Amino acid sequence: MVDQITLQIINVIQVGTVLMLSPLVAGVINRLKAMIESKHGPSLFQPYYDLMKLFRKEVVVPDRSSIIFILAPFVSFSAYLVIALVIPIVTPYPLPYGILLDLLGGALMFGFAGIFGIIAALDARTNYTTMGASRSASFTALAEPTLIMVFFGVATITGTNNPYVTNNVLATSASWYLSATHILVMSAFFMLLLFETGRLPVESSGLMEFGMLDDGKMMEHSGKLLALSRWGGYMKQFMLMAVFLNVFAIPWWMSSDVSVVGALYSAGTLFLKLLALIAVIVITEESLAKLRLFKILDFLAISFSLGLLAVIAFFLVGGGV
Amino acid sequence: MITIPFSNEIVALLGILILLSALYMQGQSFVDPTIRAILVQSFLISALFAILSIQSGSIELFYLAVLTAVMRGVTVPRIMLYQVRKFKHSLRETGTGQRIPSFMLIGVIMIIIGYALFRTILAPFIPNSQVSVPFSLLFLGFLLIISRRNALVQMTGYVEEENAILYAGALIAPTIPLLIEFAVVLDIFGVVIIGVILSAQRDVFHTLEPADLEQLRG
Repeated sequence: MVDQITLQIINVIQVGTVLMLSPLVAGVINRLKAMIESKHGPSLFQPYYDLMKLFRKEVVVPDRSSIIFILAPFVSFSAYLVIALVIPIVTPYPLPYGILLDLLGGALMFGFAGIFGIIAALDARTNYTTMGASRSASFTALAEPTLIMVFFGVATITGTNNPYVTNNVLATSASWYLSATHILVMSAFFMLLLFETGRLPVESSGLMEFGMLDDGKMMEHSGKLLALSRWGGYMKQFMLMAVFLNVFAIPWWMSSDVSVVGALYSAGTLFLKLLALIAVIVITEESLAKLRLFKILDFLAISFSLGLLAVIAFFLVGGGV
Repeated sequence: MITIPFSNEIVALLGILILLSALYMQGQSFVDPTIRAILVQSFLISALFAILSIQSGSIELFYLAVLTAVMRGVTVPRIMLYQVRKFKHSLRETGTGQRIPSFMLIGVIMIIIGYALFRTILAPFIPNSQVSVPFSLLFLGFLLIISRRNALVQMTGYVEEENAILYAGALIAPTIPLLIEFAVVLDIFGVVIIGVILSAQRDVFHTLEPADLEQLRG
């Protein structure tokens, strides 16, 4: 019987990792992008400075908006905190709250947070946020089937939607890792990752862009509310990357030792894996041009086809043991 | 007989890559990349034959691999690319095949149909379930032919079907050299005949779209 106190401490480490490291990941991405473009770029810790500055600023709320406008960032942020408790970030074994949600449940939780962002954007009652909301709603509606297909693909591999089981199966069985289903699921999920985190072939981030999808929703938020939204966005990006790495792409090098040291070790290796993934993402971003808005549908259709093909591939060629 | 580590996984992966290349061709509205895709597909199939031949120790399959690479990997695409280059306009599909996302999804559905047909009709006789991949590839070839107007793309569809048939043959009965000979001979015939028809069509009508041949009707 593992003592509960250790597990709770590991829980705190896990949520702390997500909270503390997620702005750093954003900072590394921005710095690396600037370096590839032969610019000096902002400091690695710029997202932290931004958050600190925003937390000190006053909140301006539009006249006609309702309480939802103020509540939404809090709701989204807490939804992300709940997800941080249940996905494999620093442990390859489920933590006490791991039974709350499986992969599909996690996706629904992300959707829940997203919906509140959209409602708040509509509640701000300005043209720009409404445009951002409608764009993100229409494209997310097309991204969601892909996500579900990815989970079907995972389910064909392991017979369950539990991320910890998936991690274990892929880490221990090379034939599953090399199976067509897994590789297709991985590529579909990678395309989805680019979409969900607002990376370049789909969306160029920054507030001064006509092509923006997700950032448009936050135009009217300011001060602490904007800081929470931003931080939530960083956390979402971090957790999607962590799921991609720990469940799909690189399921190894996690300490199965139920101890604080083991959790810290896994957090360290996760950061190294993240650096590798960031390099891949930044190179993708720097080498691709932005898609025209309606070509995003093609992008999502292709990732959906890959996801669907992953499920079919299981029946076509089988795989694993 | 030599055992390659993970050979089953590699064969399965190559099969899926071949299907992906077929889907890419379906999603590509330009003629040039489509022909390059059939080149890549032929080389993938050639690699697959090579692995199967090492695995089963059959020399016929190795001949087949080499012939596939030479005929459908180099010669046929080269002839077709030559046709494209000699013939500047009409390099882009104008028909319904232009609608990429819907046709890619239809392609995936075709794969499902191919698999379902294989399960219901052929599975009792053929123990190897991977034969469903070439079966699906055959349907993707059909789809490519019926969804496009451009004759060169339709030709790549035929080459794709030929790939599929050889692929199925190699999986079902690895030692049938006769099939190889026939396939290669048919290959040459096909390319020569279609090449002649295309050249004639180009000289007379200055177009490669079969629909324009309707002018021939009396």
